[in-house]
Amino acid sequence: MSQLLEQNVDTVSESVAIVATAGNLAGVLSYPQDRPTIGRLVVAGPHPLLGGTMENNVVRAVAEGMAAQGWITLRFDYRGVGNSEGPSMCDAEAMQSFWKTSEVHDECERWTDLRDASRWLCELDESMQPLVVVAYSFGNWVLSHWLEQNGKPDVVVGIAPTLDQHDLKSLAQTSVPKLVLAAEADFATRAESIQAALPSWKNTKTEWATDRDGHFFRGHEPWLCQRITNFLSDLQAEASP
Amino acid sequence: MSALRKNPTVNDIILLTGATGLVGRYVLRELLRSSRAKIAVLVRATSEKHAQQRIAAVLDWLKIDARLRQRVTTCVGDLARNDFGESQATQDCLQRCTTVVHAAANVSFSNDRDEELAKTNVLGTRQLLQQVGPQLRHWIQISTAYVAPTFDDIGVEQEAKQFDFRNDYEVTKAAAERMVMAVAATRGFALTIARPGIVVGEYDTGRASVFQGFYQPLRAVARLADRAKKNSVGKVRIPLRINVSPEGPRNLVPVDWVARVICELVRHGENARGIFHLTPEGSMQNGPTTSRDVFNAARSRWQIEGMTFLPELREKDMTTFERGFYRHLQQIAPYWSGEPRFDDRQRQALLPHLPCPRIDEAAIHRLLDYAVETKWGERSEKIAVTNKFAAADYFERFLPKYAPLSTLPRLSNVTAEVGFRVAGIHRGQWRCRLVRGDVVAVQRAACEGAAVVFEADGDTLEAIVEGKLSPQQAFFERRVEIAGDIEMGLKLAMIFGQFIVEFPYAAQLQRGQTHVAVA
Repeated sequence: MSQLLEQNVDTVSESVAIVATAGNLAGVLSYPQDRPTIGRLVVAGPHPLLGGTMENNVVRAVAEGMAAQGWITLRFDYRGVGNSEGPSMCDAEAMQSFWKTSEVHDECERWTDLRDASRWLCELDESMQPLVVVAYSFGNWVLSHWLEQNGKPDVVVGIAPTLDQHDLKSLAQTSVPKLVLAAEADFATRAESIQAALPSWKNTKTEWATDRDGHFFRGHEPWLCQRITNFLSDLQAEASP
Repeated sequence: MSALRKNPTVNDIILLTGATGLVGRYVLRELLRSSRAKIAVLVRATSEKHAQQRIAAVLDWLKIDARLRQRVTTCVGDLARNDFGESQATQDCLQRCTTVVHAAANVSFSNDRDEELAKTNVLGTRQLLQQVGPQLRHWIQISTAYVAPTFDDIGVEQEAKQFDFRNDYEVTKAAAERMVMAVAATRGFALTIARPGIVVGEYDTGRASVFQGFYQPLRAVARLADRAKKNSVGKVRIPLRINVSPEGPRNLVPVDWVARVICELVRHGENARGIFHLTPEGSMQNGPTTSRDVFNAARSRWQIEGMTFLPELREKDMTTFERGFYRHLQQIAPYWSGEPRFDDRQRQALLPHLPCPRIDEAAIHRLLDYAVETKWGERSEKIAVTNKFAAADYFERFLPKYAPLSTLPRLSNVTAEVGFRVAGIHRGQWRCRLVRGDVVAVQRAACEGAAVVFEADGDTLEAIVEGKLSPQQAFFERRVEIAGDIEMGLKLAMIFGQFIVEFPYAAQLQRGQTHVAVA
């Protein structure tokens, strides 16, 4: 069941219900209007307690921007967020824990939401085109957990990875092609942490976002889409005979 | 003794006059909310359609929903005209009404309008008394505390007998009181005389529909401040000596409280026979509002220097500038130089649960904010309704009041100073002090040095506190900026967002609870 949300010259957006193990997740599917898609892309958003919804500026802009570039994209709300089913994180215990540690005890379980959203998109679009996961902020940790559980995206993009907050070992070690868009003056991760860690990450291209609103990229969302598009185009060119 | 019931029921009709005035409209709102009776409003108009339009505008202004509106019947009638009440619909209401709340009055303080005053306040009351039918059980006469006889400069809750009134307004209001008392004694209906002090806008928001009396000197000050040149630190110099005692009482009462008291008097029926002063309580903590409170608020509102009190200032010693200022206040001169205190023990004894809120400096700020936002009533009511939200009210009253009721702020256990800088029509800066997560103080103060400062315009703040926009989403949309410790700011936004879910500002308004009185 889906509902047409928006239709413009280039893209169509529909609200969708994603069948997931944690219950139905609310999502928005966006795709080009009159041309075949060139790939499948899922966006994993920031922490639910820090405004992590599919309406987050980065999440929405990447999903819509990449749809305009020819991708079928899916953004979604984690369980308990917005209209997604499941227990909310907004209880006193979780918030207290989050205030102290920036963590909630079962937050990494959201990796199944990402897995289920990706599976749902692949079942919807059986084109066998590449599956790209774009993870933003806390989404990097979710992605890392999914990779640890044998998740198999074809390409991953990490925007403002939260290296100072989370152990992103599986994301670092996966051999799938990776683009990391690291923010300077990022309140969540010190630049030196990224500079120290990223050289050891496998198959990773890093781009620094300077003067782009730190962790938040407000007003610089098109720049993100452009970097992702360029990276994916380069990969495609490399793969072409 | 007739079998008087206490609270008007669904079968009763309450006839209300003066519903388009300041007090009358709030009485209408309270009657709709607190009783189940039908309300017939008598309104001056050229036709029934015109009458309905006038009342619809009032109901819109009050934000009365469709369900409550169904209980309002509009009747055409001008109390000042001889042919008052000749339409069939009006006659029906007059014949069937069981309670009358007579709030219609001409409130001009000008002494060259004695005929108009007498027509509305005395003859109009007489006409209404003659026209109401035999069903009438209870009459509530809205008068003024200033007709009270005074002993040792204290106005008492007794019959208006003296004749040394300050102006024709008081003369006619006292005459109307005496007339209703005489008729009530003859016809046997219960009579309540409600005598408010100086009625000002709503306590919580400053909202008002007219800006006379109390507002006049402040408007004159505002005009001077607007014209004066600001110095290097943004202050204006107004060389004005205020010729009243700074500690002199000002009997200011918020209109929403006045309306609630009147509706309680309606509800008490025959038990509310007598004269009741709706004035600041003698026992009030910190005493009633003083002239100092009023002018201090004006000083800080317009950043004024040079305005001082000099009670003994005589006209011959005034500067030309001062003479110009005082010329604007001629009409209110009888009240300007000094006011009596009022005894209100009868009202307190009957309604001990409804103490009069003190109009303190913060409340005066709210009154001024609203007055300025609506250009002292010159801006259309529609805009006034749109601008009902007041950042000052939220930070200075709502937040300190409700934050302690929520466990959420304490989750952080944080001790810090948090600043809120609001731009646009609600502009101002507030500083919130958190000690181990408890909100211990919120006050108007500069944000410099605060650990976190949230910046937004008034519309965004309104959307956030009404629960229409999450603080974090507002941040992602660049409608809110966070300066200082970003992580703490985002986490505070998380807690603030949940606090708003618990205590949304708009929902409090819609529930019509006593602490927020925006319609």
